[in-house]
Amino acid sequence: MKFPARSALALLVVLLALPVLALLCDTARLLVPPSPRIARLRDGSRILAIPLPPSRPERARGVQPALLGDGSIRVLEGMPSSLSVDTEAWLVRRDDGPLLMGRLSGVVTEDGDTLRGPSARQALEEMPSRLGGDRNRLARRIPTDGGKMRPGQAARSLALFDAEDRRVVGLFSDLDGTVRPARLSSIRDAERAPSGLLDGIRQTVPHLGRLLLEAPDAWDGGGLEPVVAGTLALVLLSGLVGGLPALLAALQLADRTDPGLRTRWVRSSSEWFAAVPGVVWGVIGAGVLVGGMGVHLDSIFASGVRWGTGGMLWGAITLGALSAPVTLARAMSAIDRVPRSWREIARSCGATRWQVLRRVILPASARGLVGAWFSGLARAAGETAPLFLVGAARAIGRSGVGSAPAPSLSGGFLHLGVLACDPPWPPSDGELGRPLAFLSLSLLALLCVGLEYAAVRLLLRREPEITR
Amino acid sequence: MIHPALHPNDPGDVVHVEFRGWTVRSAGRDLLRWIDLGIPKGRIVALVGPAGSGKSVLLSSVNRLLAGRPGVETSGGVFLDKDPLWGRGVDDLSLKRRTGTVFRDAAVLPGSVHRNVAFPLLLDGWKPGPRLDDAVEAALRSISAWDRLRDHLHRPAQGLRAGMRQLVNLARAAVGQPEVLLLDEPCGDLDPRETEIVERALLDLSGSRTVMLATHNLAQASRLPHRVAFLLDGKLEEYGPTDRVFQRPMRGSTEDYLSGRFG
Repeated sequence: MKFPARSALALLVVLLALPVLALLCDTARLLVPPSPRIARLRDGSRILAIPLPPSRPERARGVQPALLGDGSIRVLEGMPSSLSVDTEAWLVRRDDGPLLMGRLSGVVTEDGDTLRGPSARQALEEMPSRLGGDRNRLARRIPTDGGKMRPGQAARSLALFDAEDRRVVGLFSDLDGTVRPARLSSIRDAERAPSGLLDGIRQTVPHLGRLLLEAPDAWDGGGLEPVVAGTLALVLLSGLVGGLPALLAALQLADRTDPGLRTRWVRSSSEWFAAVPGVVWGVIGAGVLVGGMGVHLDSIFASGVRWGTGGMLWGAITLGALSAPVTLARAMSAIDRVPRSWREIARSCGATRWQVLRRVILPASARGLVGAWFSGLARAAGETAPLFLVGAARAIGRSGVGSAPAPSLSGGFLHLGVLACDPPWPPSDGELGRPLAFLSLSLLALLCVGLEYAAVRLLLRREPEITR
Repeated sequence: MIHPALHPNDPGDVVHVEFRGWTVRSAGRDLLRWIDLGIPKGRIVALVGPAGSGKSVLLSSVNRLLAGRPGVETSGGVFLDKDPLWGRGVDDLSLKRRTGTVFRDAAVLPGSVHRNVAFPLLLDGWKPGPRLDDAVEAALRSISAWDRLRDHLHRPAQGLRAGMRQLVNLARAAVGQPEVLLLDEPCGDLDPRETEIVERALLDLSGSRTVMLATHNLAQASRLPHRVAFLLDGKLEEYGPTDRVFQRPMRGSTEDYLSGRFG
């Protein structure tokens, strides 16, 4: 390839990579404040807060903000955990504006003194008694101007002082970076969300693991980890219930000297069946497994509705059924590549059917058989449509939003593709959901491509060289 | 019924493998038609004839590989030392182990020379050890190939040249001390030098064993065997001592074939 062509290609790759990077940074921006935590306020109410990492100047000043925009604050009832005093989150209810949420790091008093650390907390402790109310009521009472400030401004002036009524003003930033001032009886700090591309990358790298393991607010149980685990479990289970029988069937048909009618029929029909779209298998699975066997099982064991709704097992069987023809066809061609002469030699030595299989066919085709199994897994991993019908947890359906279902054979399961198509987070979390969906789909694509790559590597085995 | 003159046996010869009215039919076509043939014990018998004349089918009737092919019908009988090879209740495996086969294709099993030669014994449940090593060595010595192959013993057999691979196959066929060796054009893919090596190995073996050798190579058929059977279109045309068949063929077709007029 000539140099200009190469540079053009490189440019193209960079251009294509940029949006992906940007999206990753977008993800990072949202995910770097890694986990939503439950914060218990002094008045006993609990809120969900996300601690934000401080920028460098803020860190130098010992500022550790934790903020959330208006709409995304969720007050969850009955949550067991609480934050320690140091990371206590403050909820600010205003008369004229949306909820604000933040964490105290410093106070500028009415006299203009800046207090930090324990003395700041102490000053704040005393304030309610002076103003006659608890923190929330206090906050609610304080009028604010409700005006918007640009992030840059906020970053420069960490503490705004309202000269007119000599009250201190708090700054809180929304997810979109808009800083809303709120006059409080105390000052706290303003926070900018990371904005630049480099900032995003820098903050993403140390948190790559967390991107997968935790995510804001999507599930209270964490991030994509249970979803990835659910997908892998489903795919592996489908390999057990569909792929293994297909391999055994291929071996069973392997030892014929000449392909008989049955072998030919199985071979060609496996090719056709491999072309049946996944959603058709989904409908069959929903009808036969869920509606038929499941309901029947429930009526036998009288255990309520357990098997009669979709679940992991039915999902795995459906995926197994749709991937088995792929495994079978590829396994048969892998076995076909074992030279016929080897079988003839073994048979002429008086090998039994089993001995031919075990001593000649199996060792020679083992790689190919594993490859065939992997192709089946890749096909199973790539199918999302049938899962909507046989029990994947999703927003509109049995398995509710908000928490990952406990893993069980009869229970609903989480799947990357399903959740990306039918996200469980509420509309107000749309901002959070988009990068998560992107991440889910990327992971799913990675899984499928990885499995197929492994399969092809295993199947395209170099034939043994025979010298003349 | 073939004329007795076409089906002679020397006095004193003991018939080892016997075909009686042996007919093989597949997909409506006769592969072998009413073969009456007695192979004497301890002799080399060459099967000659053009491609498709039934030489290989005759061999696979003795090692019973024919039984695994779908759509094959047989009638008549084949006997090994008077034991029927075909029919109800024959013990497929024990009969197979009384024969050793080498194919034209100089293919060997994956694995070392040692594993290839020992393969029939491993099938019989022999464990690796000095006893197995001795058996392998004895088999290679019996075809005078020990010196050629001893350094290759634990290297992949597939890396050998075709002639050496056929020696490995010959040793593999001989290791189980079979009564009958069935050789399906073992030198078909070899050059003359390699052919000579394999032929010498074959002669080393033949003293004690009955050998059925299918071949296209008329020179080979004239120098190795004690007897020659000429097959044409699944029928036995002529059978007799090598010298007699080559010098005074009794049938026109035999003469035509041997003199290179067809085939």
